[in-house]
Amino acid sequence: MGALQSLSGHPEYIDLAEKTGFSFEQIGVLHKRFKQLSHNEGTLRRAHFNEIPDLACNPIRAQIVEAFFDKRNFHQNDDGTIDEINFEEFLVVMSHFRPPALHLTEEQRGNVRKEKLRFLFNMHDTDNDGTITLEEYRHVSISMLSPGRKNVPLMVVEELLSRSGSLEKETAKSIADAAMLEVASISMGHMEPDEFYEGITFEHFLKLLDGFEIESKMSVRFLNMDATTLCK
Amino acid sequence: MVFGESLLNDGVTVVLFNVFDSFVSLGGSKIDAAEIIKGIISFFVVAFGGSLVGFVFGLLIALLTRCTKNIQIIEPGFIFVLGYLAYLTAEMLSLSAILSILFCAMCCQKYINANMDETSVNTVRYAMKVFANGSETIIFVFLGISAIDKTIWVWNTGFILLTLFFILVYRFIGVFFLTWILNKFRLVPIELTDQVIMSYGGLRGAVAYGLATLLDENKIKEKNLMVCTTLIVVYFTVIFQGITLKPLVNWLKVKRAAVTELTLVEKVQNRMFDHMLVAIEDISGQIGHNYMRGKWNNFEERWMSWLLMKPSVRKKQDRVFNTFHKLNLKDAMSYVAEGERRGSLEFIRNENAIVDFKKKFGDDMSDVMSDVMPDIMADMSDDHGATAMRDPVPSVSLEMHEQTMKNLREPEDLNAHHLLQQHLYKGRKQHRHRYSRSHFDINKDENEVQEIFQRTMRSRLESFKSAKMGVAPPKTISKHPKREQKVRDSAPTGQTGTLRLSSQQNLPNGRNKSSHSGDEDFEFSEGDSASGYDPYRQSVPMRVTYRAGAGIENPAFMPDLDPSAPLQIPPWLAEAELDAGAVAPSQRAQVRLPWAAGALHRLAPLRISTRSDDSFMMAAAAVLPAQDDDQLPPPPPPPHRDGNQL
Repeated sequence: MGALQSLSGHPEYIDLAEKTGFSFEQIGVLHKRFKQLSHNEGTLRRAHFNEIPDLACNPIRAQIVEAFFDKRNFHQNDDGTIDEINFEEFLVVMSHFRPPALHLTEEQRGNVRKEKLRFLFNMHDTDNDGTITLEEYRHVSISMLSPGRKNVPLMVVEELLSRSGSLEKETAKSIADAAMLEVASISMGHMEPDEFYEGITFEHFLKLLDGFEIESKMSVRFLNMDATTLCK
Repeated sequence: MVFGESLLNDGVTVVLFNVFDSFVSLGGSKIDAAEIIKGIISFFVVAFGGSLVGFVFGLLIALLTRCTKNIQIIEPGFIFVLGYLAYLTAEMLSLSAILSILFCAMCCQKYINANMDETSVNTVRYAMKVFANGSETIIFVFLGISAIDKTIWVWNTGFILLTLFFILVYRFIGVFFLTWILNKFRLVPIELTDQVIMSYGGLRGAVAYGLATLLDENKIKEKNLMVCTTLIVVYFTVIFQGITLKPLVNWLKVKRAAVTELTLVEKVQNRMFDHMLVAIEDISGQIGHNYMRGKWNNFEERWMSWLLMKPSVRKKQDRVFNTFHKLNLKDAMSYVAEGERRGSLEFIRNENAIVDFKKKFGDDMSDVMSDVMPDIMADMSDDHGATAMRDPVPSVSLEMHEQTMKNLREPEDLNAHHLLQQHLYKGRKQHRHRYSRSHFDINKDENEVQEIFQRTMRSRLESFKSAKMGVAPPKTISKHPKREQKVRDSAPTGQTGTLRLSSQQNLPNGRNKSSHSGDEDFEFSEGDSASGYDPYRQSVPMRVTYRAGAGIENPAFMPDLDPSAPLQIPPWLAEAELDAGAVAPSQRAQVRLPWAAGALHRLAPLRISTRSDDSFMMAAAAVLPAQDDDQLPPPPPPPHRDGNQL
């Protein structure tokens, strides 16, 4: 395999491999891609992400790009966002999507699942307060469920929407609300009428998506492809 | 996976049969490499050609259903006819007919389900089921009957045993080999148990038998042998393997298909995953599985749906939306069923309540509805700007309904929907910012309130007159707790204006009128609360618990009241209601209070029994002493309540 050759050229890959669990080839491929995206500058900025044309038609592009710059995803117990990331951080974020190894113990599987769910949770929870409030959930859901709302901020959207567009947005909002209610009823059981459901905490989130097999759903195969096949 | 495999299996079988049949007719000596290669190629041609034919017909059906909005009756017929036509066309072109039908169905299913009316869809579905069942039965009967036909029976033990053995072995080999190849590309590898099940579950059935009987006896002299062997094989696989499959599945603990419907959250999450994975693949610059899927979805949404689906339907094509829709329907139905069970349908008949409700609804609706129903919508009251800041959770369910109703339905439907909207998906977090102790909204629009009151009063007058003695007391009693709760709920929200209004009417009219108005008060407040959107927020979950209390109370309560003249009840209740109304005092209510206090003194013991369970009332009433200096002196109410707080 080409592992040894790439190893000799890039000793730093060893650290990265240990940290993120990627194999050397995968790291090599991703490194090439990183350089391509950042135009060999060494750090990635949000503007670089916006250059990917296929990404532009993705409804939750904004959240995903944000996720890359969110320090909580760097496994360093840090908070907040930064403006540019280097390759290591890029890899760490990508490692959230690594498919789990074939033979994992239950505990390892649980850890993997927790990590992925944590990533998802961070993506929803934009203000870093540890809970997903209705507003945040709605924001994500609306951008996801109403197609075509590309990079227009939510306020403008409300004003500019045509009749058909607002159909989707209102519906999306309702759907978000309903989903939130479902979460409330699942997590908290029967609540006193005066209680206030603050938001989804991480534990609730875990419980919610427990039967979800997230470790297989949220995985991308990092095949050993030549990055030059895609010049975007 | 197994199902798909068996479907395609059948198709491939037919293709292979035709290939070999043509080989036979070619003659054994002429089969050389070229012919074999031709055979293989023809296999692919037949398979893909059949699929293509099916695809074309699928598109045709979808286009057709798009245009048949006004002639829905012919839709099911067309589907059957075109399906059969796909089969015939493929047969005519010597292509794989089974695959043709299969792909026809696969292609058009989504569009048909979307375009056609639900009744048509159901018709097609059930008719198909009947036909399928019927056909299967017929062919197995045929199988059975031909088995006892002695003339064609040829028994060759060796041949039969070898055949049986080989089909098992080859099936296992085939499955394992193919899954091994597949597992290299799959994210979740197909496990060993799955492979075993797939191999073992290869039942041979009607297709094999049908093909065997198709053999031309002149070409193949051993036709009878083939037929009999096929029969034996079919029997063996169906009976033996079929019966033992289920225990095998249980023994290997294979994971059954998940029967539970995904929750809404999970569906939303699924959607999110789709997008996310596509994005990650884009970022990492790979053409992966998700990327392809994303591309296909985009293409399909933009072009094919545009072509093949009715425009009105396109917008609603969304799995998450459909789940949401189904959930709402389910809730609506269960709510109505619950309402019917309790016999509390008067508020449904009160249409004006709904008009009123619409006004108070707030911004969410105004955006959506303002240019849709200008005639029904009166001017929105501005004073609800602040109160409309409540969280829009309750708007969840029926906004969607409103939008589907945008294209004009009758007012009754609208009313029904709005009614349901009050009651569906009530979030429990409303009262946090709703219950403001210092701020009371007085319903400024007196005219509307007045009108509603009078209308309700009139209708209630009739019902009250007709059932004065017998009906009135239980009715009022049973609804009393509900009203109290509603009163409490409505207290901070500005319904007190209406209650006070009714109380105002009480005094000038004197005792005899008050008996009426007592009832009316109660009914009116109920109607008003129905119109008021807020009190019902919790009424659904709350009512359940409270009913139990009322049920327990009543037996104790009734004996108390029976001795006293029934006529005393309404005024007493009216006063009690006033007292309840005094929970959230405003300027007007203060005028009431001394009178209510006097009444309280007199009726204290009776009040206890009705107030006993109302913890909220107590909690709210605890506010009462703190509120106002002019109020009735604390001693009368608290001792009663303290006595209740055992």
